[in-house]
Amino acid sequence: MSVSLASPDARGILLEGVSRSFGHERVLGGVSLRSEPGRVAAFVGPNGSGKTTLLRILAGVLLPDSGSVLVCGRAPGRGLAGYVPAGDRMLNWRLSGRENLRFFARIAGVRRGDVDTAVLAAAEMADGGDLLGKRAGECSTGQRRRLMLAVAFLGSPPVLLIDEPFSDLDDEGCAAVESASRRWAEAEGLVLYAAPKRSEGPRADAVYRFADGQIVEEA
Amino acid sequence: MIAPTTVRRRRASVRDAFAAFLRRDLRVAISYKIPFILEIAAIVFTVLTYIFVSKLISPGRVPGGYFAFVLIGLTVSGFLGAGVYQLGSNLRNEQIQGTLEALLASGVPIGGLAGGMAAYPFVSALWSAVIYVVVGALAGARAEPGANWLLALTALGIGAISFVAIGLVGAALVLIFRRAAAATGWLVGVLSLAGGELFPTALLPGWFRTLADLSPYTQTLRLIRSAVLEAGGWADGASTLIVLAVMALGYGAIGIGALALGLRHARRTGSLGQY
Repeated sequence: MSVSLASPDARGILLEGVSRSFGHERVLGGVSLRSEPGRVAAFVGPNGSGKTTLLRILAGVLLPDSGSVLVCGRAPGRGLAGYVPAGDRMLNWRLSGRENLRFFARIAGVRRGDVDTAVLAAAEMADGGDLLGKRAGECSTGQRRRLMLAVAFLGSPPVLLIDEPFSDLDDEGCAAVESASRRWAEAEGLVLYAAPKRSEGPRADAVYRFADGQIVEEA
Repeated sequence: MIAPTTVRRRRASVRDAFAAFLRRDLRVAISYKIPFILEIAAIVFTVLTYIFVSKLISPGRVPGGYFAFVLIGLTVSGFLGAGVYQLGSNLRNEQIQGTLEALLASGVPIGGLAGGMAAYPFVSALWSAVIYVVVGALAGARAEPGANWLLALTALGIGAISFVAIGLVGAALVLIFRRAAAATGWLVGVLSLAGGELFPTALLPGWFRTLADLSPYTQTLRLIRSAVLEAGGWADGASTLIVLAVMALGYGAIGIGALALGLRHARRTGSLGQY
């Protein structure tokens, strides 16, 4: 039996007529999209084509001007998606990788007794186990990206939203993202990422090509 | 939730968020060793200053003598600053670090965000209060025999809710205008003046005294001083406690509402992570 993407039991995402402007500039122009769980999907397109804006709307940190958005059958920002923004600003640089992950694990609602297990599992999945004892401020940009990915993996949310997944990562880091994304898809999760080029993210089962705030091609 | 790891997430409770923020902010504070020592030194010098100032003021001018009177003002001022000023400042730090977006994407409840950001500043204010009391006691400040400490702590607890609530309005202003910390610093100054932190409010002009009574800081200080320096009982303090409780409810609702509006504004304008 299939579950409608609008149902609270759904695991995918559903977007209908999502528009967003910044000032006079229209960044998204009525995007509609449904993505079922169990796959890795990529938003690709040139800079400024609306990919990141859409990812931020799905994460619940930006409101659309119009249209409806459902993540797992609910409004975004309910903790059902693990979100990794672009760049390396998300961690407290005074704290170790472990302390940063512990903080976000509790914020994500991981039970106190499970926090250490969740932290270790998430760090290993992001190939960042060796970074747990290192202060975030002493990590390289790529190492911080791994810790940020680990934050998104905490507690296995049904949806992962990753902006520029391979950005600043070395080969091992990219392989870890590839492997984690595949595991998510195999476990009926959904991975959505935004990247300027298809080669800058894990192998995708679905590719949505963006241009001028529209999905111009779906493959 | 799905299978990649065996541990599952659920929506964090306010308590989860409170504990997470407190632990993180304590860790960050401990990572800076020198400020802890400097804070003790700063309190010692402040207390020393007021020991000398108190010698200028004849003992009968205020209940308990000026030194004990001002010591209470200084001690409670830490809680006022923790609520009114520090909340907005902490929110700004979250914005600058880029953690605010991640926090909101994680679905942290608004009460958890508010309580969590206030958690460490209040622990820090409590730590300062202990130092003030110890240094003050060593310097000769004494409570009235029969002082009602439980009433004083109750007043502080209820008053602190209002301080946080005012701070939440400041945090909302940070979300809207980004650089609103100067405004909350100014507000702390006004509340300190109106509250009679360093002098009795009887010295204020009548019209200003009337306005000052609307401030939870004024009411909190009044009740704590009455309980500690005049051994005021529950019956004496009941009416002020009720006023404080009503203020806590009213300001609390305004504060949470303001933060919700501020967050909505930042989500609408896309400025959550901008600084």
